[in-house]
Formats: sequence, structure tokens, C-alpha cells
Amino acid sequence: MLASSVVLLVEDNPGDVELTRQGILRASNHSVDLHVVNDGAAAVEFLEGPDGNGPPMWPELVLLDLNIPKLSGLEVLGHMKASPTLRSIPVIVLSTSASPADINQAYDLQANAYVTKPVDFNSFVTVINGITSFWLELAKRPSAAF
Amino acid sequence: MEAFFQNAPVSFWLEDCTEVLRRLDELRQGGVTDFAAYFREHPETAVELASVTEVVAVNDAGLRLMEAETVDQLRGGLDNVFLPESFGAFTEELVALAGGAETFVTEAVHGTLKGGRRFVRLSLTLLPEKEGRRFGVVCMEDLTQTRALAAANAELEDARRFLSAVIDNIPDMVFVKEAKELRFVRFNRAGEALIGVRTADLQGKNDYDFFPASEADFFTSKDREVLRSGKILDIPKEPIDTPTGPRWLHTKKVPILSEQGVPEYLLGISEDITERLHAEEERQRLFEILELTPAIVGLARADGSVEYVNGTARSLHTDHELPTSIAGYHFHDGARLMQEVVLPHAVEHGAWRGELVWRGLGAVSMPTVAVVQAHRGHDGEVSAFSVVAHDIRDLKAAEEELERKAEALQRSNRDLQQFAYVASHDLQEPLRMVASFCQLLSEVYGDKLDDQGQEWLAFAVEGAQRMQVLIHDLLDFSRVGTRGRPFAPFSLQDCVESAMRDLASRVAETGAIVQASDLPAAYGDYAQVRQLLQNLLSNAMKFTGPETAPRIQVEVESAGAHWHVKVTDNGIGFDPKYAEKVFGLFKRLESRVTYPGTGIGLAICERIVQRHTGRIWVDTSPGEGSTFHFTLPKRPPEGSEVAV
Repeated sequence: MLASSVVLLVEDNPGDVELTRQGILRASNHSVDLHVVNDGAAAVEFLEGPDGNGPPMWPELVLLDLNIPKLSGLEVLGHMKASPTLRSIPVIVLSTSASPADINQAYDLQANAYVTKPVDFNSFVTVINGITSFWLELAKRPSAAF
Repeated sequence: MEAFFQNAPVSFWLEDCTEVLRRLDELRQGGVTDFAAYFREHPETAVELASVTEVVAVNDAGLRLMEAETVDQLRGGLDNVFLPESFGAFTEELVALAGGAETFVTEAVHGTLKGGRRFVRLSLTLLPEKEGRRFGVVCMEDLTQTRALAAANAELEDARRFLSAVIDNIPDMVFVKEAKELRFVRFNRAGEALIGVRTADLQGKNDYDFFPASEADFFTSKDREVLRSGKILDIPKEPIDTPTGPRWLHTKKVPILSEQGVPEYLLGISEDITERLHAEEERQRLFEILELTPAIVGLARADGSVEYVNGTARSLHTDHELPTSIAGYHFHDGARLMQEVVLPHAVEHGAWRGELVWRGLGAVSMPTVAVVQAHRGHDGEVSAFSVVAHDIRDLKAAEEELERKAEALQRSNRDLQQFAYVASHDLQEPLRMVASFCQLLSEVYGDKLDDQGQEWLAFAVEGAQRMQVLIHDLLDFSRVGTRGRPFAPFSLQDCVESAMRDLASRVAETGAIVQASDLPAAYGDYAQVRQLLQNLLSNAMKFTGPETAPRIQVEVESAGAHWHVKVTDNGIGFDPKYAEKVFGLFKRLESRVTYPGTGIGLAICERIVQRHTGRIWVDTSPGEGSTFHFTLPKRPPEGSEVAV
């Protein structure tokens, strides 16, 4: 059993939160500590930490929905990539939208990947599996304390 | 004999020529042979010889001729009745005498004692020598009065010729009739040309000989009126029949009265004003056209003062006076546009074209598109300005309406894009929830459901998934209008081949044979035309009977500015009564089970063709296959730039 990785899920839809949780459960033998926030402001607040020195639990991956309350997903992304401490955290935009405008904007703001949520649950599990196995197992990630 | 001379009606005098002859002899002996030349060189000798030619006797007629009282007054040398011009004839006489002539005749001038001048014909005859002296008899006829009469006649003839020439050369018709019977006595050349009758033929005739009775009556009555009143009559316009057709004259009739005031002649002067009248009529016609033309027409003099405005312009000025200066007809933002821009431009370039606001209709100003011309006279100087202006209120209103509509369209496009976003994101979110949780339910709690429960859950999942496909298709459909790229020339052949590459797996599956070669270049949105062809080819492969390999042919024909593209298949075809319906959104003719699809493909095709200003239609019948036709522009519209 590998060490547990912290993954931040920014998602306001409880259904999607549950689906993602179920997906991670089915997809990976990797231990994931899923931390969920429900809007953009909460995401920034979490990432900045209570005293502004960074998150209490350093996420190794951020799964970011675009259509979220308060600050939008793109705003959160922009904030992260503009921050010298946060910009190294891989951000996967996970959205229902297949709109080219959304996709281009996300990559312009240096999202690490853009993934469209499939309708089919099995496909969704495949997607989550792909993400976790690549980003949490295959890819080397920057360390939290550099 | 004495009495005969004394009383003869011609002048006689007797002169002693002895000394003259002696002197001439001396000269001859001195060597003079050419006396004419000698006297030319020595005129003083002739004067001297005159003084030695002594008058001896003169008869009464001679005294009268010389205006002398007595013979004694005339005795002595000839020089006292000679004038300088008398010596010419005298010298001739001397030359004749020197040549031995006994008699001599000439015409000469001499003076009288009272300073008069007499022109005479004279003869000199030498009498035989008597007592050593030679006398000559001079006989003179006074031609003075005869000469004067001839000169007066010649002068009179000159004057008559001059007058005739003047009258003949007057470009207007001039005629003179005698007052009694109004017969022609004089007619000039212009009149001959006009009436087509020679002057000689007119003499003694009157109007009735040349003109229809009614015309002659008119002329004659006017003539009588003039002679009766004794005053000049001006007839500004009278018709006359001529060999070249009816013409119009401006005639002045002048009575010529005797010293006693009795009418003697009637003088007529007629100017042919036919051409002028025609020109005036022409002008009048143009004026009438200008007056009623729906455009505003105005004319101004070189100084800008208004000379004329047509009815249309006047009708626009119902509640205030017409401006008196051309500058009053323009104005824009208070600028002196006409004075400072329009007129100087027209003067320099001949004309100014552009939009002018016409002041009229009270507070309402009228936008017009106008041409302001500077007209130049024969001297090359600007002599007038004209303004022709068309009311473009309707055009402006239409422009504004168009702008409003374009704005509304833009708004609607924005709304559609918003809708597209909503459809792609927000509508799919709940669908995903339905589909995913149904699946999860089936997976986790499936064993707690019976077969029917499982089946119902499967229906729910399938419904949600189909819904998502529909939403996707709808999105594609909406993007035809909003996501189109600028038109450019492209190769239809490349387009078909590219579409075929995307369909390669279908071609392999179905064993389809697609024929398309040598397709030309067209003009449009390559990506969209490619999608159009891909949809048609895909349909052609899809709607085939079982066990039938699709055979598809793509052909192109020219149709004016468009290409007519035909995609023919050997598929199942359909009832032609659905030929229009198939292009409707989500319209399906076949079961979803046999031929899957949402029914969006042809609707997208139609939208793409419409965006290309083309047409799409289908020929088909059940079992006979289908031919889908559409048209595309061959090249950019005239005058447009090709997007690079």
C-alpha cells in the first residue's frame, strides 16, 4: 500500500462529488485522500491556507470544475498559475463543457489537462482511472517542500 | 463774218501764235527733237510760252465762258486764264504744234476771271500766214455742266447699288410693297431664299399670288392697318407657308409716307425665328421635365443667387420663403459647407457629388444625395451652378432599419452562442447525473432488482445518453451560423477526399465504392463544405439495403455563377413526398433501430448550403436510390476581395 495522496476536488455538484469519489474508489489502488471544496472562493481559501502560507495539506493534484459559484474555475486556475508557490500543482480541468472556447481558455491559463466528463458512468471511471494512474502513479510530481 | 463769230453760241477766240511758233523753231534748231520729254523736264518753258500766246479777239460766248466783261480784260497772255491743271492740255498742244500740226483738239480745264473753273472741249486751228504772223482760231464748247451731271449720275448709281447691296445682304427678309395695291416692288435675297421665288417673278404681284388665301388675308390686313395708322407694327410671331414647310416669322411693318404724309410704300422686315422657336420649345420641354422631376433641381447664377428651383424643391418649402442664395439650400452642423467646400470643389473639378442636407419642410431637414455642377459660359468663366438632389430619407430609414436588424441579429447570435454554451454544459450536467447514478444503481444494487427493474434502469440510461447526443447535434447545428469561417477559394476534389478519409472505416465496413474525380475549385467555407459532403456521403453509405455495397457518385455541373454538385447513391431511397421534410431538424424517415441517428445531418447540410447562398434538394424514389443536389458559388462575388 502506497502512501495516501491528497487530491483537491473543486466541485459544487454533490452528485459529481459522489461520482468522483466512487470513480476513485473503483479506479485506483492508490490511496487518495480526497478533499472537497464547493466553490471557487473556498478553493482559493484552502490553497492559501489559514495564515497565507499555503494549504495545511499539500494537494498533489487539483481536479477543477469550471462552472462553480463565487470564483469560476478559470479564475481559480488563473490565481493558482499566477502564484509562485501554487503554480507547480498539477491542475486537471474536469468539466461537462466540450466548448472549444473553454478548452482554449483553460490551456491559455496553463491547465495541465482538460478532460470532458463522460455521460456514461463506466467511461467516467475509465477517465478517473486514467487521471489518477498517470498523475499520481506514473508522473513525478514536484515535492511540497522545495 | 464778224457777226457770225460774235453771235456764235460757242466760244471763239483768236490768238496770235507767231511768237510761240518762233520759239518752238528755236528749240528745234537748238537740238530738241522729243518735245514731250522736253516739256516734262522744263515745265517753266510751257508757262513762258503761255504768257507769249496773245489773245487777240473773243466773241460774246467766250466772254461769258471766261466771266469777263470786255475783250480787253482777256487780252494779253494766256496765263491769266490758266490754272495749274490747264498746262497739261496746253503742253500737248505745244507738242502738236512743234510736230507741225495745223490743227489740234483736246479737252482742258481753265479758270475764269472770277475764279471759276471751266471744263471745255477745244479745237485750235492755225490760219495761213498773213503779214508774217500766224493766228490761231480757238473754238471751245463748255462741258462743265455735262460733266457735273454725269458725275452726279454716277454718284446716284453708286448710291443705288450700295443701297441694293445693303438690302440684299440683310439676313432678314426685306420687302417693299406699293401702298395702293400692295404689289411687291422690292424683295431681297433672304426673302427669295425664304419664299423660294425670284425677285423678277415677284415684281407686280401681291401676297395672293404666293400664299394661301387665309395667310394672304392676314398679311394684307396687317399691311392696311400699318398704312392707315402710319405707325410701325410689330408682329412677334406669324406663320408662313414656304416650299420647305411651315415657318415662323417675326415681322416689323413700316409705313413709308410721302412728304405730304400720304402712304407710298410699305416696308416689311421679317426675321425667320423658326429655329429659335424650336429651341425655345425644346427649352420649354426640358423645363417642364425639370419642373416635375421627383428630384430637387435648382439653378444659381455665378454669384450664388438663386435663379430657379423646380416644383419639387418649392413643394418642400411650404412654411417659409425660398432662400435667395444657393448657400441657403445647404447647411450642415452650421458649417458653410456649400460656400467653403461644395462650390469651390465644383469650380475646380466641374462637379461635386455627395450628401447634402436640404433645408425645407420647416424644422425638418432632408438628407439628399446631390450633384452640384459648375457651368461655364463661352468665355470659359463659371456662369452658373446647378444642384440636383435626390431625397434619400427612405434610403436612410432603410439603412437605419437594416442597422437595427443587424443589431438584433447580433443579439440573437449572442443569445444562440449563450444557448450553445448552456446546452453544452448546463443541460448535460443533470443528464450525466441521471445516467451515471442509474448505472451506479444497477451496478451496486442490481442484484436487489428483478429483470424488469434492470431493464427499466437500462431504458433510463439509454434515454439520457440519447438526449446528450441530441444536445450535441443541436450544438453543431447552431454552430453552422456562428462558427463559420470567412469564405475563400478551395478545391472541391480535396474537400471530397478529405471527407472520405474520415469515413475510411465506414467505407471498409460497407465495401462502398465512391467515384469523384476532376472536381473544380469553388468558393466558400472549406470546413463546412467538407462537413456537408461528409454528411451526404455518410448518409449514402448508411441508407443502403441489406447485402448491398453502396455505390456513390459525386459529379459537378456548371450552373451560371454556381457549381451544381450531385451526390448519387444506390441506396434505399424514399418517397419523394418527404423530399422537403428530410431537411427539417431531427426529421427521420427510418427507424432508429435499423438506421441509427438523430436526424440532424441534413438540417446541418441545408444550413451550410444556405450560408453559401446556394440551394439543396433531393431526387429520389423508394428502392431507386437518391441524388442529393446542392449549389455553391464558383468564385467570389464581383467587386469583393478574396479573404486571405
